[in-house]
Amino acid sequence: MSRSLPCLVVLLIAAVAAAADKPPVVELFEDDADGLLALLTMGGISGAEENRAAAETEDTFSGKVALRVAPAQRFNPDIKGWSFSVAEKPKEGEYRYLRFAWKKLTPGPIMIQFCSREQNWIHRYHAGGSPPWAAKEVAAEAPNEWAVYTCDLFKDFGAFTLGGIAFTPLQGGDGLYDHVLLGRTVADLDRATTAAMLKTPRKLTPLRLEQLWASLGSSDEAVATAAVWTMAAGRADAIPFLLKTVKVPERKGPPAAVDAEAVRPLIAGLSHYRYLTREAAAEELFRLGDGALPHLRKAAESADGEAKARLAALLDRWAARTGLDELRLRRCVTALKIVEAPEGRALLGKIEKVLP
Amino acid sequence: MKVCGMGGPRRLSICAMAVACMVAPIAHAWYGDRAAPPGRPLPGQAGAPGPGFGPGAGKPLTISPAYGPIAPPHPSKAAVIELLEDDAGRLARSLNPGEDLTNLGRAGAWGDDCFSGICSLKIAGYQRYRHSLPGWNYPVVEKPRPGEYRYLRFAWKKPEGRGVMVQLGVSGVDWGRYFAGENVVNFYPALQVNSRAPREWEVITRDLFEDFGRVPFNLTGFAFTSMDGVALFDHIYLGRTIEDLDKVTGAARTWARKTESLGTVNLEEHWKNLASEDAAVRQPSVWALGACAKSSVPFVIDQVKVPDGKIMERRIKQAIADLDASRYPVRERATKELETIGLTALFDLEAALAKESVSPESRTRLEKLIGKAKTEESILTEPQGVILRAMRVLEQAETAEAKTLLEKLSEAGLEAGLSLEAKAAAERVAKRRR
Repeated sequence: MSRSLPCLVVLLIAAVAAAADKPPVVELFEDDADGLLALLTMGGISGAEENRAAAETEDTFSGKVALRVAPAQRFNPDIKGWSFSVAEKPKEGEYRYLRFAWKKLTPGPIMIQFCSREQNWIHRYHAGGSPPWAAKEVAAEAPNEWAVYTCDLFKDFGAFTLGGIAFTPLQGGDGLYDHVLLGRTVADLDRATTAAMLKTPRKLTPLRLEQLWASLGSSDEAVATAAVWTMAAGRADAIPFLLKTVKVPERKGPPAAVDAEAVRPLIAGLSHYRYLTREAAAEELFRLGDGALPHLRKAAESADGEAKARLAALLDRWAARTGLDELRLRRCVTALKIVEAPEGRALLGKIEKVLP
Repeated sequence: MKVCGMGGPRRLSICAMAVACMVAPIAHAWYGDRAAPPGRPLPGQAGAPGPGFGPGAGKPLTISPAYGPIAPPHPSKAAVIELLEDDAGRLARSLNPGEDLTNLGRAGAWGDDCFSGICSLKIAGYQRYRHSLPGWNYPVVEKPRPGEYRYLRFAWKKPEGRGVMVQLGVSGVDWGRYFAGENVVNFYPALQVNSRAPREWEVITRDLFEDFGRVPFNLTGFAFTSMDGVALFDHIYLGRTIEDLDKVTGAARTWARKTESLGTVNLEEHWKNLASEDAAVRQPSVWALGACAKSSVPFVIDQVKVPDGKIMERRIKQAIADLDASRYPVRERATKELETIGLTALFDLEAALAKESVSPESRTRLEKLIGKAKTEESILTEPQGVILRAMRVLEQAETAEAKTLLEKLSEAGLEAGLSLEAKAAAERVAKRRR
């Protein structure tokens, strides 16, 4: 017994080591910007140019550091220690899904590229503009807010062994990159992202919370997803904000009628000379709900000039938003579930009750 | 297994270390530093720049350290400096002073559409600018101490036309540029901040230190470049941090939707804040008082003493007469007096100059005074600054009482052109109340 114990311990250590060798999620970049930058030895279009890249600590998606890269690119096709198999049905140590976050500081395209061990750079994702090389588009415009993408590498490019990476903001302003992960399954990636977000709590200012709230209702899924995760990371501020802000609609019967007197100053506010007041009036009308719509339509019929154009634009936004509001509530549910905060449970239940 | 089991605890630890060393590197640890050997393919085709590499497009100005020493911190030590909010008329008068404006364009306060506050700056034509605006010498640095800055926020709108640009006077020597839409004027280098011209108000926040080559510089002036047609500008602030700028923008948003009854303590606190040079302190109070008209307007009426306009009329009349006095000190004193009165005396100065009987001595002095009144906006004293902010409060309040007080102030002959500001404000309120 006493002789076999050390052998069991060694076996256990070997098993643990083997598991660590083949984790379900591999972190290509999270916080070690300096380490990665030392390996990204090539720059510019030719590869021989000086290309500014640095650790970004002020503006990150997750963790404490993002990667800030100036156009055109920093890369290395052959990173030592990188040999990750992308497969349709990944076994231990193989991967299929990619998750990354990026944002573009000023307009222009943005791209991320992966090189195979066979030195082929055909595995590219881009957003904005017309890419100079064949690439899979993940968005028509490069986002100026953090956006998170989860891509199926196998579906997009087939099986290959990933050995290099290029961070390519191409032109315009700098590109920020963060949270670049490979996963066997999307669920594995979700667990990793949740862990990363909960590990590094962050402070969210009231203005930032307003921006995130707007992003939760975005038609851009990637931007909305980033907002969900950011709210999870900033849960200490986000939960009280959500408790205060989320208005759970009643689903029974037609919309409650809204008093014409309550709506009149708001409709007048839509034509105010001050943009912020116009916006505030529009927000308040949205808050009143569908009961305000008949008044708005009536006002749009009788208005003229700029007031008519503003009312028409608001009615368009209203139509788009009805769908987005439901989406926003679903995204709130996701954020609340990630955080699992006791104070958010009542709200979670309330939202889930009304969602179809 | 046999080997591992034979050596006891010491051998065990060696084995464990060996196993650990055999573990292949997990991706977050990087090993080595290898460049691709020659002939390896690159990401993209070599020598094939992407579309849009125009002459300097997307490449901001890189500031030369030779532009001179960095100014000392602003004496106010303000966290946020207001470059433009409601004083669009005063700023417009400071742009291209004394120049032929035929090929530049018109500039003025525009009360029909603004982002925040009560008016915006409207530029119609090509552009208006000034490389070194009086009182502007704001140090932009990487790690701002109190009185130093790094971030710029502005709002702009381009209702029609292809592009819009702002240019920052860099140490009175060069320009740093941001544009949206097309760079129709071909001013480069310039950084595009949006591919489309903003048809509705859009807020831009920029890291000046980062954008212009990570070199400190002094912000000394501004150019508002409408390029083609009309452009509106508003809400321009310089901040130490983005959080400081957010305090201002957040307050503008809050008080655009909210009104409440302010108690005496609040009213006094806000009133005191109107004197602050820090926009993060002053502007929230201006907007709070403006939004809470019911309680604030009676309070402001109590605070603002309206001088008798006739006294100013007599002062101006006497000073103009003294320009031709027999004693030199009297003429000098009269000139200084009229300089202090500034734009308020312009109408009388021009009337005096038009008289046939004007003496050569008076003519020379009058011409200089008129030139100065037209081209140099008076630097306001603290009490004058408070009166100006009180006018902004009254204009925002838009009540009948507020309008009456503005009209009284417009007749009061306030120095430094403040009566003209009151007149413009009263006219805007009258238009909005119709």
